[in-house]
Amino acid sequence: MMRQSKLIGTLAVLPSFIIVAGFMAFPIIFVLFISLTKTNGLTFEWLWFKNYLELFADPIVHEVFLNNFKFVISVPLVIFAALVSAVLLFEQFKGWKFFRVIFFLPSVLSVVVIGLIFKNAFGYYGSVNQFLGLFGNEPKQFFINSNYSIFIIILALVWSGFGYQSLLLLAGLTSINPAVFEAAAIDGAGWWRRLWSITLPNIRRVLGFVFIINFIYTFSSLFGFIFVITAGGPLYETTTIDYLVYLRAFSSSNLGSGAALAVVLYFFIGLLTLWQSRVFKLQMED
Amino acid sequence: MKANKWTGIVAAIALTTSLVGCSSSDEAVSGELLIWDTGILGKDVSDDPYADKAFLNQMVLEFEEANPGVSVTLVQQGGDISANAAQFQAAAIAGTGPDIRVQYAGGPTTSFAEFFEDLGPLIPAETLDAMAGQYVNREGFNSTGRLLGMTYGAGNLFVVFQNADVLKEAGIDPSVKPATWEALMANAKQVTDKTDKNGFYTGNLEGYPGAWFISNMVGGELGQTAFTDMYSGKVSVDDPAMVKAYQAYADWGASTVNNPDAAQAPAGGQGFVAGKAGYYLVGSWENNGMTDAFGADGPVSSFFIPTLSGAKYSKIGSGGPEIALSITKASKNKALAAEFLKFIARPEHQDRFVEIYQTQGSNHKDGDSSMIKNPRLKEQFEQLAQSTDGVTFAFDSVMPQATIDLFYRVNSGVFSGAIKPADAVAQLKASYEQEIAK
Amino acid sequence: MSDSSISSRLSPRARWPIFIGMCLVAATIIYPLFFVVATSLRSNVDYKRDPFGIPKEWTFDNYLKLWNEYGVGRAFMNSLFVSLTAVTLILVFATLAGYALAKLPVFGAKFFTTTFVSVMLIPGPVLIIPIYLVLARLGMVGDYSGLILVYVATGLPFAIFFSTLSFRAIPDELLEAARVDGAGFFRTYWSIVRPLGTSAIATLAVLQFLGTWNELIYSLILIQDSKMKLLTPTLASIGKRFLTDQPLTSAGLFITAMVPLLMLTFASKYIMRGLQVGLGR
Repeated sequence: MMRQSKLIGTLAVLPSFIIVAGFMAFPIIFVLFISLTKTNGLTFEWLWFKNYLELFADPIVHEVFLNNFKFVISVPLVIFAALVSAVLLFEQFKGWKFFRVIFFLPSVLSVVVIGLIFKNAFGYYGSVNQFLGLFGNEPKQFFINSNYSIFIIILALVWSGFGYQSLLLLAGLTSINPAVFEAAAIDGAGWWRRLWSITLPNIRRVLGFVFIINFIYTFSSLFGFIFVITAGGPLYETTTIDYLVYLRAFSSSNLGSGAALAVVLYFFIGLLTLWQSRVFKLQMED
Repeated sequence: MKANKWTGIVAAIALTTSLVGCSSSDEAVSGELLIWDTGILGKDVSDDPYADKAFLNQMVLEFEEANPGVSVTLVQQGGDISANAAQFQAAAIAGTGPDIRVQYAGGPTTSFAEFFEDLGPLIPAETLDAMAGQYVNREGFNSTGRLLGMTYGAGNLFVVFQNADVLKEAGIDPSVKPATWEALMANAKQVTDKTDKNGFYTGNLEGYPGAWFISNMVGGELGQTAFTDMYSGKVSVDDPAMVKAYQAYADWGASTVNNPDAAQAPAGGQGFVAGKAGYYLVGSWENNGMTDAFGADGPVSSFFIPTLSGAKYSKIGSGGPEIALSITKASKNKALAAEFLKFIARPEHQDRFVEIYQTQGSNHKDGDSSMIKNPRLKEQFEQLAQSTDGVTFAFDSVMPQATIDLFYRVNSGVFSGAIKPADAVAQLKASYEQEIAK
Repeated sequence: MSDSSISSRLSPRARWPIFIGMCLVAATIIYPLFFVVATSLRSNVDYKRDPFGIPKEWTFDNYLKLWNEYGVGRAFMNSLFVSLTAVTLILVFATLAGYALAKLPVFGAKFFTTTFVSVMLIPGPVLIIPIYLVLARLGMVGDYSGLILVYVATGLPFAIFFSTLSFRAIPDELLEAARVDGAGFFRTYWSIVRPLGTSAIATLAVLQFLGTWNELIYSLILIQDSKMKLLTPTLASIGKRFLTDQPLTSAGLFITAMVPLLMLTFASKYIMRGLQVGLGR
């Protein structure tokens, strides 16, 4: 009887396992293999690490890695905006549930939709230039300057991301034991004081989590924004690693070099995750 | 297409039964063919690539009529060049690819060398020799390389469209075509200064006008084989002619003759069509658009992009063959595929192609030039006849894909002033060397 | 909410500035979306005349043009088909696996769980080349079956994780009672797990639908036939082609955003609940 139900249980998990193993676990091993070859998909020529050596010598790859670090500026901005709205929502003033849904709204939209809204707004004939024109300013071509372009993409990231993050932080706040606040109130601690010495320390773990997912996000998920807003230009100045993987993947008959880039990205993100979880673990042990 | 598929199946069944009935049928003219097109030869004039009026659809029907027992399935792919290339690559890997593929000539054909059959042994030399420009589809752009695709049509020409009404308003005689780029720029400046319109309408977001400009100017300096020579290493990518061309291009971008949003406007001539500019630098594929917008007798006419002053080869055009038909290695019926290519290559069939689309002339030596009705195409072919220095095959038709991607990017960078001409050329050289080394 | 908890918060008077601040933040979100909707209902000429002004006339032309002439209607239906199919498959597979992992003995349960959790954080771009080659070998590129399979594979790890957690809350006594009654695996799954897990399943359905509906990179790479294109890649190319026709682009934006917005309106409860679990991982 027990054995039979064990079999049934295993059979219930098996379809999912086969799909996930075939289309997520196996591809990870396969991409490692591809990255060590020169291939058009039909024939594989074993190259050892030639693709990697070329990658590390490629000035465009260096530039693109640095670009990614520029987008990291968005991380503290998103978290700050999310934190402010979370702490304020936590006050549970009238209609806070409504605001919660509104702030979350951009998170359900496709990056294509968000990207095009920002691209149109900052276009030459877009609303931002129209608005600046009201004060007698000449219209600007924002997208020929990489600093503006990066700023616009970061703005899109913050706009679309802070709502979701603030809900995560709010969940953390709600789980703080109210007795802690009561004790502080009895001690006569003011609102700011309580925020600094009780509220924030208590959501350290959630803050750490939010920090990690944002950091990883800037290295793995900007593709949609870049694709829609700048196509990586001017030159490669707004190209990120994930976008370069896309550009390289099918542009030549050698899929190996694109695969090598994907592997580097994979290990880089893995390292980031490990490093960050270690840093935050240490803090929690304080 | 669904109907086609069913006819295909019915025909296949009919074919099998007939084969069982009489096994003596000619092997070369029976069987099935699968053709993939990307709206190049199958484009209907009404812009709907699926209509049966399209040239390739007509050819398929007539080929089937002429060869009972043959069934041809035609598949139109949508999407851009790189998406189509990826799809073809995937099909080649799966072994489900077509027998014949229609794609752009030059790099987009030669980069699939591993997937295409050499046409040399399949198609008689006299058929190929009767059609100009076959060299652009040879492996390595080398006269002894494998012929990976059959060049079809005379191809595109990069031109400047001019609006006579705007020029007259600025006091310029539109019948005098500027002989050099500098003269053209002077006219454009006059338009900007004397009217409320722009000298040029330019959309350089993707860097395409740069591709046409650079190809033309470097051809003027080095001759029509400039880029194929660069590809094969005979001429260096950082040749002074490249720097000179990019300098002129940077000066154009920095000047005031363009629409103010030129550096980030997308390619496409909206401003010119709206009558807001004197000139528009583009290619002959805009002929029909211009005729539609201004009428056949309208104020718009065209001429080849003039070369820089002092150019060694000033009687030159730029652009070159656009279309190639290839037979894939995976094809199980290469002889039949070759029959279809020979069929479509007949001069009278290519004349029909010219007649329907009016975007380019025939590349067949027996082509009927009276088929060219579009006044713009007509004047371009008249100028082509006088271009004794030939036609430069464009940079982005020759180079490896990664270098082309960089090419477009540096073009928009040079135009907006973000990157210096010498740096642009140095980057292109580095990319070319890296790609060729691979 | 008890008195003491409120006393730890701000005084009612101090709340007004917060309320106004929140309204301003909300406006930065609402206004761009409102602008998109308003723009999409005007002609291009009318828009260019005065982008911020009140339109002279309202028109549905942009929607009709996009829907009928630029293939957006077809793309919308394609996206709906792919998303619904993928979500249905995910729900079936994930709830089966989730039920088994939560409540039944499973050979190598730890191995399965570890596999699912460890692939959860793999970023999409890393997998495009190998997945592409695998699907090419199977002849599934350019076909919905390949795309749906990828969506199911990338959606499953989180879906299984989520349903395992949710189904753990089902009381063992109920399952035991069903077993005593002689109910087999599927009957228990259908008549006890499914009804008790409805809210979790609904949450999962909404989250997974949003994910597949908004997905860009795989739908871009795997589907190239213009008749089969999904909505997000179609919108992206329309946005590039019609940069100077903002009303037309705006109509496309609204068509794409409409479905997620409707879901948020009617299923915000489920979405909010899903996020709490997302935090737990």
